[in-house]
Amino acid sequence: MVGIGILMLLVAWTGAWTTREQRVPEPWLLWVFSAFTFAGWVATLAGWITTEVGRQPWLVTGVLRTSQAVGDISGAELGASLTGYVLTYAALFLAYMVVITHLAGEGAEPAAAAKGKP
Amino acid sequence: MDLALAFMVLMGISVLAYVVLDGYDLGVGMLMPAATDDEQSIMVASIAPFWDANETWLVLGIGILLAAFPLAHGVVLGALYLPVVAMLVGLMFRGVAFELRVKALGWHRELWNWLFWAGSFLASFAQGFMLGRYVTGFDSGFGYWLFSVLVGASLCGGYVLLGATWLILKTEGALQRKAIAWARWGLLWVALGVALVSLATPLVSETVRG
Repeated sequence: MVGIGILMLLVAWTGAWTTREQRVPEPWLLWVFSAFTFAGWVATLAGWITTEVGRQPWLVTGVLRTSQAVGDISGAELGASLTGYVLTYAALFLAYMVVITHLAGEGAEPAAAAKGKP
Repeated sequence: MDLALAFMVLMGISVLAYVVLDGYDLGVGMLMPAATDDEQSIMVASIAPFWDANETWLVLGIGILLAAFPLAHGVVLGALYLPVVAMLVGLMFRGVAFELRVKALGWHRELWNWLFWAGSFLASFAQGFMLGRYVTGFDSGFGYWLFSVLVGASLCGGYVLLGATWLILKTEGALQRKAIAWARWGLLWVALGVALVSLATPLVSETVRG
């Protein structure tokens, strides 16, 4: 998470530098930018996994063990809810991809045209 | 004052605020299929600035339950695990539909409108169902489940009434006249629900009967 965060900062500042005074970045750099589309998402997930795995076997370190806090919900119920969440997130992810693909396909207006200059 | 009592009062206020406030925007969501395309956009726009804040009362209520009454939190949310999941899935689809239906065109728009309706309905029904399960002390048996379904359906009526009255307040012209008609139906639905639930409650709840 920290590594990706630093890389994201580097890429962002590189982007700011290479686009200074209306300059256009090299194509390979544009590919780097697009490779970072999901970097924030991956970093969030990585950080979350680190937290969840790192705190075991404690729920509250030194106070409450995970095994002491487990509820009496059946495996079938957990399976049903997990399936529901996975399907929901898969559907929402698909919708998200459709939306950003659509928005990317429309393309951005050139900066000059947007400002109303010839 | 007793701390437990104070937290109980706070939790009661949260639940009341949630039912009244999120109730009207869930109700507007359930009324979507009854409106035309243009009206649907007006309806969603009328609740768009508020719905997110309204749902926060639910988070506060559950938060107080966890912080002040952890044992009850474990028992109640453990017993209501699946209806809670159903409610959350409903709220997720509904929340996303708010953002995406505006950008979608053609059948995509139709799909998001439908998901907005379905999510509102699922969340409302699940909340009423949970109340029914709670009143019956989580007893299993056909009669108890039927009672919970009845409470779920009645709560949907209550939210539809709230949603319709919100639209009367916020709209004008043809849509307002429609909303008045919807409110009449909602009132009938609520009256029927209150009557049936009142008749059935002594049969399923020992504490009410005793």
